[in-house]
Amino acid sequence: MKNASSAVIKYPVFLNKLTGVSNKKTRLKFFVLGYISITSQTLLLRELLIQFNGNEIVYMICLSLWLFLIASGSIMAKIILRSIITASSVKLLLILLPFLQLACMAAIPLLVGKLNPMTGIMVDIPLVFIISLIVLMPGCIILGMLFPLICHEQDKVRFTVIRGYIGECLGMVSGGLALLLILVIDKNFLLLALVQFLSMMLTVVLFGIRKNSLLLLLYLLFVPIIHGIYLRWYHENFKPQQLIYSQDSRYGRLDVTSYGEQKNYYWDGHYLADTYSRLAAEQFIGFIMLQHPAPRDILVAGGLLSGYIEEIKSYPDIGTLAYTELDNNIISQYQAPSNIGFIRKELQSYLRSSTGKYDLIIIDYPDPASIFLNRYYTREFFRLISLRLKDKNSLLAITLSSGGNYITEEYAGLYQSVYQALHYIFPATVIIPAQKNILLGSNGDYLTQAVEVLTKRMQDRHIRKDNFNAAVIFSTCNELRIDQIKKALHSEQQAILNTVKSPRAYQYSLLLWIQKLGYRISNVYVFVKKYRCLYLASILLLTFIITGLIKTFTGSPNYLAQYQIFSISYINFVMQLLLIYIFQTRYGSVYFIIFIFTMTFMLGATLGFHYGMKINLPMNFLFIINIMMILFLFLAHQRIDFFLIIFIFNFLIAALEGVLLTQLLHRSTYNSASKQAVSFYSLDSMGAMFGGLCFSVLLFPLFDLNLILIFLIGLLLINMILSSVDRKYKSW
Amino acid sequence: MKKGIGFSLIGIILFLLLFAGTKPELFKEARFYEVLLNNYVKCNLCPNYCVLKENQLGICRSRQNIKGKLYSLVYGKPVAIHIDPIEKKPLNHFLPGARVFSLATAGCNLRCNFCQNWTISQTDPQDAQAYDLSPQEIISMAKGYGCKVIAFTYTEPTIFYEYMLDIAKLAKDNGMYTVWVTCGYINQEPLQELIPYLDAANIDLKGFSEDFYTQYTTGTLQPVLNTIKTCHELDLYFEITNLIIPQANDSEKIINEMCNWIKDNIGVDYPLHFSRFYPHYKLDNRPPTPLGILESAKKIAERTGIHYVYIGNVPGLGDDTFCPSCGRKIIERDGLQLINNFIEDEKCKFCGYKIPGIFE
Repeated sequence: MKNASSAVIKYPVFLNKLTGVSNKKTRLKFFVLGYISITSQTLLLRELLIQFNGNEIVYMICLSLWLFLIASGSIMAKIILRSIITASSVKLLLILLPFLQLACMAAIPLLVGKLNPMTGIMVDIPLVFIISLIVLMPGCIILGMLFPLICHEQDKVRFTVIRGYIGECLGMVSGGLALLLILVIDKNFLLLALVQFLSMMLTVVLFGIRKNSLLLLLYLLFVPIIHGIYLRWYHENFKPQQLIYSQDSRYGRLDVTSYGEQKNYYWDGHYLADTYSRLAAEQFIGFIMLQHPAPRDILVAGGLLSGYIEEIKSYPDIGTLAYTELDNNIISQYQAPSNIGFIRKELQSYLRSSTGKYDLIIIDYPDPASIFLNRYYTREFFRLISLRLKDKNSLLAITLSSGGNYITEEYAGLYQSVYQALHYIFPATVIIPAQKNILLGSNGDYLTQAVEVLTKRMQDRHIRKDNFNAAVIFSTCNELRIDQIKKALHSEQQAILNTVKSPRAYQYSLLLWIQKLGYRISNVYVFVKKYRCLYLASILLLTFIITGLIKTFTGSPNYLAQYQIFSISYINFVMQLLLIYIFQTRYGSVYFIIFIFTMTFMLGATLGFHYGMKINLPMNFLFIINIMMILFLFLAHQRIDFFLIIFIFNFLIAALEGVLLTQLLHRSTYNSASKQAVSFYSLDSMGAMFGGLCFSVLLFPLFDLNLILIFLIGLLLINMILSSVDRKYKSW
Repeated sequence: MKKGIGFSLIGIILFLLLFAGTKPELFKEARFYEVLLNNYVKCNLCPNYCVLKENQLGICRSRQNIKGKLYSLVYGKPVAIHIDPIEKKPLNHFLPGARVFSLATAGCNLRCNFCQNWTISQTDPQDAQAYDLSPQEIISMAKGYGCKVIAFTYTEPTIFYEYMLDIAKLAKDNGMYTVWVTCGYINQEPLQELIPYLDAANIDLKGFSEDFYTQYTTGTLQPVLNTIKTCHELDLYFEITNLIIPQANDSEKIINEMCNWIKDNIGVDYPLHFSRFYPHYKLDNRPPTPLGILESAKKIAERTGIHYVYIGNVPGLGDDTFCPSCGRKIIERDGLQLINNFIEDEKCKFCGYKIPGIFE
C-alpha cells in the first residue's frame, strides 16, 4: 500500500491490538511516523503546487520525488544501522522532523524567489525538480530512514514490518483527522505548524514528559521565527506589488495584491483577474448576449472578479442572474453591490440538483489542464447542461484560451476535442475566436459568426461599448479568422471528442503547457499513440529493471517476491488514482472530502495487513480477485453514481493490497526485521512512485481509462504467470 | 537474387531522396551572409550575427546553412494571414480606418518571454502548418479581400526579409501600401535596402535599458535605436510602440529617459503608443499594466513635448488624436473603430496645422 506516501490517500485512528507490535513505545513511534508523514506531505506538496503555479504533472513530479526520497531514506537506513545507536537516532530524528518540515516549507518561497529568473514567469520543469528536491529531501530521507530503524528495535522478524505498517497507517488516519478538524485555519503554514505541534506532543509523551517538555517550548519559540521568514519571502516574491490579502480555503489559495491603483487577484498562484478586467468582459459578454434573441435568465460560473456580473447587468431586461461559487474567499473579494443569487455549490452538483432553467449558461473556467477541470468540457457535462436550458434558442457558452494568430496542433487538438463533445449534444455549435475563444452550443438556429448579422444585432439593440463595437466584431469574426478556426477544427489529426472516459482536452492542455515551456512533444505523442503496444511493453520492462536495481541496493534475497511487491504497489496506486479521478468527475474537487477517501483506504489497508497475517491464501487466487476488481471498474466506472460505492471499492482495494503484500512478505526470507523493512519499504515506495508517474505522465495523458485498466490487468496476469513459474522451478 | 539487389537499390535511392537532409532547391537562398571556412556561414541580417555550421538553424529558426549556403526556410510560407484594422498594428496616423492584409511566417530573432504570438514566433517553420503563397499570390489575395495595405507583422518580419522585400516591391508596382511592424532588430545594410519599398512602420521599442532587453528578450537595445534613427533619416513614416510591463520597464525614470531620447534624436512628431501588457506566454502570471501607470507615462511623454501620445490595448482610453496647435480632437476613435476624422490634406481641418502621417 505505499508507506507514508502514496499519500493522496492516506490518513488516520485507533491503535493497539490491531498492530500486534509488542512494545507500546515502538507502536507509538510507528503511529507518530505515519502522522507526520501524511500531514507534512499534504501541506508541503500543496504549498509547492501553489508556488509553482503547478498542474497535475507538477504535483505528480513532487509526489514522485517524495516517494523516491522515502525509498532512498529507507535504503540509507541500511548503512546507518551498521554504525549508529538506533534508539537515540530514532528519538533524535522524530524530534527533528517537525522543526525540519516547517523550515522546509519556509524555504519554498525563498528558493522560488532566488532560483526563478523573474516574478510571474512559468516555473520550468527542471526548476520544479530542483526546488522540490531541496525542500523535500531532508524530511523525506528521515521519514524513509525511520521505518527500518524502528523495525530494528523489534527482535522478531516475522510480521514486524507489517505490524509497523499497521501502526503507520493508523498514524496516517489520525493525521488526516487532525487536518480535517483544524482545516478551519486558513493559512497553510500555520496549519502545518499546528499539526506538527501535535506530533511534538506525542513525541514528548513517547520519550518522557519531564525530560523533554522543554522541546515543546523550543518549538513554540521556533514557529513565529520561521513563520516570519516564510512570510517575508512570500511577500517578497510579489514585489513591487503589495500583497494585501492571502487566504487558504478547502478549494485553494486566493492572493490579492495592489500595484498602483490596481488590484490583482491570484488563484493558487495563477493570475486570475484585476480591477480592469471589466474591459475584457465587455467583449466577452457582448459576443454571448448577441447569440440569444432576448436573454433574461442567466447562470454564470467563473469570472466573478473579472466583472462579468456587472457587464451582464448593464444589459436591459435581465431577470434571474445566478452565480455558482464554492469559495467564500472569492465572494468576499467581490465588492460590487448586486442583487445576484450566489449559489454556494459546485456547478455540476448544482445542475444535477436544480430544476431551474436558463436562457444563457456562461462558464468561464480555466482551460482543462487538470482532471478536475476537464469535467466541465466533456460530453457528459454538456448533456447535463442541455437539461437546464430553457428553450431551443437557449445556449451554453464556454471558453478556451486563444491560439492567437496561429493555431498550433496542440491548440487544434484541444479545440477539436471540446468542439466535438459540444457538437455531440448541441446541433448548433459555433466558435467565436475572440481574446478567449468562446464556444457556443444551442439547439436552435440563432447562433452566428457572421460579421454583418452580429453588427446588425448590436445596432438594433443599441449596444455601445468601448471594447465591443463593429470594428471589434469585424476584427474578431472576419472571414480569415473564421477560416483559421474551421481549418483547426477539421485538421488531419481529428481528435476524439472529450469525454470522462477519454479526457482528450486534458491531454492536449498538458501538451500545450509543455510546449509553452519550450518542449515540443506532440510528435512523440503521435508516435506513442501509433506504437502503443511497444510503449506499454517498455513501461512493463521498466518495472523489471527498477525492481532489479532496488534488489541490488537492498540486497534482498528473492527477486520474484520483490517484483511482485513493486508491481502490486504500482497497480494499486494507479487504481487509487483512477478512483480519485472517477470521484472528481462525478462530485467535483476531491479536496472537499479527501479525508473520507484517505481514511477508508488506510482502514482497508490496516484490515488487510491484520488478516493477511492470519490467513494463507494462494497468491494466484488473490491476483484473480484483483483482476476482477479491475474488471468491475472497467465495466462499471461510467455507472458509479453513488459515492459510497467508490469508498467501499477504495476500502476493498486497500484491504486486498494489504493481504497481498503481507502474503508476499511472508514468502520472502529475511534474517532481520530491519533488512526486511528496508527492502519492503523501498519497494513499496518506488512501486507507488512509478505508478503515480506512469499514470499521470506516461499513461493518462495519452490513453483512455479502459486501456489503462487493461494494462493493469496485463501486469497482474504477468504476476500470476511468474507465481506459477516460481512454484514449478523455485529458482528465483 | 539480382531482383532483390535491384529492389534494395531502388529502396535506398528512394530513401535518400526522401530523407537525405534538407533539399535546398525548395528554399530561397538568403541574402546578407558570408561564407566562412569549412562551410560555415555568418548571417549578417540581424544583430544576432549567427555563425552557422552545416545544417544549423539560426536563432530565428528560419534561416539554415545548407551545404555552405544560407537559405531562407520561410520564403513563400506564411503561417498566419488575417485582416486587421490598421489601428490594431497600431498605426494611428496611417490611413485611419483601413483594413490591413496581415501576414507572418514562423520564427523570430528575439525570444521575448511575454510574446503574444509565441505559437508562431517560438516555433520551427517545419513544425508549423504553412500556406504556399508566392509574393504575387499575396498581392492577389490582399486585393481579393479589398485590402490596399499589406502588413508584415505578428512575428518579426526581418526573419522573412527576402519574402517581405519581394512582396513590398510588387505592392509598390500594384499601387498598394506596405507596413512593417517590427522590433527593429535588423542590421543597417538590409534596413536601408528595405526602406524605399515601405510606406510605414511601427517600431516596437520594448524597453529603454540593455538590462531589460537582455533579461526579457535576449536581444540588445542599441540596434533598435539605430533602426529608429535610420528610419527617421531615410524619411520612412513610423510610429513607436512601448509595451509597458509591470515590474519590468514601467519606472518613470526609464520612461522619461526614453521620451528624451526620442525628442533629441528624431523629434516630437512621431506618434508614441504606450501599450498595456496582458499576461502571455511564459510571463502569464504577471498582472496587466495598471491604467495609472499608462496615464503617467502618457503625461511624461507629453511633458517632454512629444505631440502624439496614445494609450494602447485599453479601449476608450487615450486613443483619440488631438491637434497640437489648436488642441481640438481631430480623429475620434472608439476602441478600434474610427468615428470621426477631421484631417484634410494632411492638415487639421480646424487650424490647418500639418499632421504627420499618411492620410487619404
